[in-house]
Amino acid sequence: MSSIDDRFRQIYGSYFKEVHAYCRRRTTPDGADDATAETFLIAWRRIDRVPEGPEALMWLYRTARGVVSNTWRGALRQKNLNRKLAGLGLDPVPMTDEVVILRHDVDRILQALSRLRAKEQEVLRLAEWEDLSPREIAAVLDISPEAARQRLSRARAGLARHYNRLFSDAHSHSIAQEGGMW
Amino acid sequence: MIDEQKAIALFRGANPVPDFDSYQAAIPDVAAYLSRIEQRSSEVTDLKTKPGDTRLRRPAKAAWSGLAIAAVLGAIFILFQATDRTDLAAERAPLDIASEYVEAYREFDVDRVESMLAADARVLPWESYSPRDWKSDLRYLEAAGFQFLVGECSEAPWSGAGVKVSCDYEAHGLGSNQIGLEPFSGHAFELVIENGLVRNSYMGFDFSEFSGSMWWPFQDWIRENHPEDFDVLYEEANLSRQTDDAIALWEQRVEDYVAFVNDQP
Repeated sequence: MSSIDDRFRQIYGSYFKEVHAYCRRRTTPDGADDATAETFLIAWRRIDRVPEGPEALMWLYRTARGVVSNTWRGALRQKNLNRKLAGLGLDPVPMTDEVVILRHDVDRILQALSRLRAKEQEVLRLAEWEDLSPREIAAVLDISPEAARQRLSRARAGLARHYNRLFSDAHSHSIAQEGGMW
Repeated sequence: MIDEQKAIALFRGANPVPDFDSYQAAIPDVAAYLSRIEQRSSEVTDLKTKPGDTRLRRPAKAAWSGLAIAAVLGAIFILFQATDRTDLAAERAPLDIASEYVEAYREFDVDRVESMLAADARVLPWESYSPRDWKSDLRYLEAAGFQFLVGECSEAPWSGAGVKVSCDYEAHGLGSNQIGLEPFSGHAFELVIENGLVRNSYMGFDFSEFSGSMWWPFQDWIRENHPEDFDVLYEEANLSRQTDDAIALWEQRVEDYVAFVNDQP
């Protein structure tokens, strides 16, 4: 077995779940399988470029980001994308009041998210969904840590601002009542 | 109204994989996986060596003289040095290269775009058929709130060297997404890919809908509310200025315009 295979096995064994979760957070279950496979194919081909240590995961995230973006092609009318993303939060089976309300909020916050610039959307996902630090985000996005911090701050403020612009009128109704219409 | 903390809490609640520790991702067996990708790789390329393996295979019946071998190896070494950044790209399909290039453009990633351009590439940015500084153009597009929704890439008729690829895209600009408009469609990147690099790049943009909905209304708003900014932002009425000062002001005024429109009853 070559050292290339050993190195790949180590990366694959250490980070497959992280990469799959990253892809799953941004696409459908089937899409996540495909995107993860494609990401590791690229890693195998470019194994000499994958950094050692924990930085390897940042490299994989960066690669997966490009792969997932490719999978969005062809279905990227903003409205359709939002609808698809809004449906990712939960399995569609249980319809208790609690879940209905949650789905409603998920839909709304993802609508607000879609109003941010693509880079701001991604920095929010990396921070809040992948739990990355600004330094790690900087490594994934290939920007400086300070730029990552600024972008994150702008994105967080923008998310609330867009949410309120989109739904401030609707807040005269109770969320539970609106959710009950689902 | 919700505050930033509440918005982030909602966003965290929208995480499709909220509990990573209990996340069940079926991990394919690595040996089978390696076998599959090696097979796939050999189908895609005719490489005799694995990536990262820089050993060169000599012909079995080489009859070179010592001098000839040295010359050939020297030439190969120089070629490898010169094409280091293209060695992986050259084996890839033009459609894949075009997709990645447009993706880099979509992300306003100047370094990535540059890494995919041929040394003598001709890049025509949007707005103009005449070459401008495409790096400034990219920075302007990002500052002015442009977003590109990239569709399919396909090969197009072309009689010159290389392969011509057309990539459709839709676009938002000047904050059109933030004021609730649909993306503007009918645009296409036209690229010529040669030797794994982009030799010609033209960012085609159909202004017919965008002009009436965004370009002129925004410009009218500038004339009315910030007349002193007009000469900073525009070289002429239908051409943006892209100096550092102009780019910073574009970002600010687009944000102001979005706020103005959204505040209208």
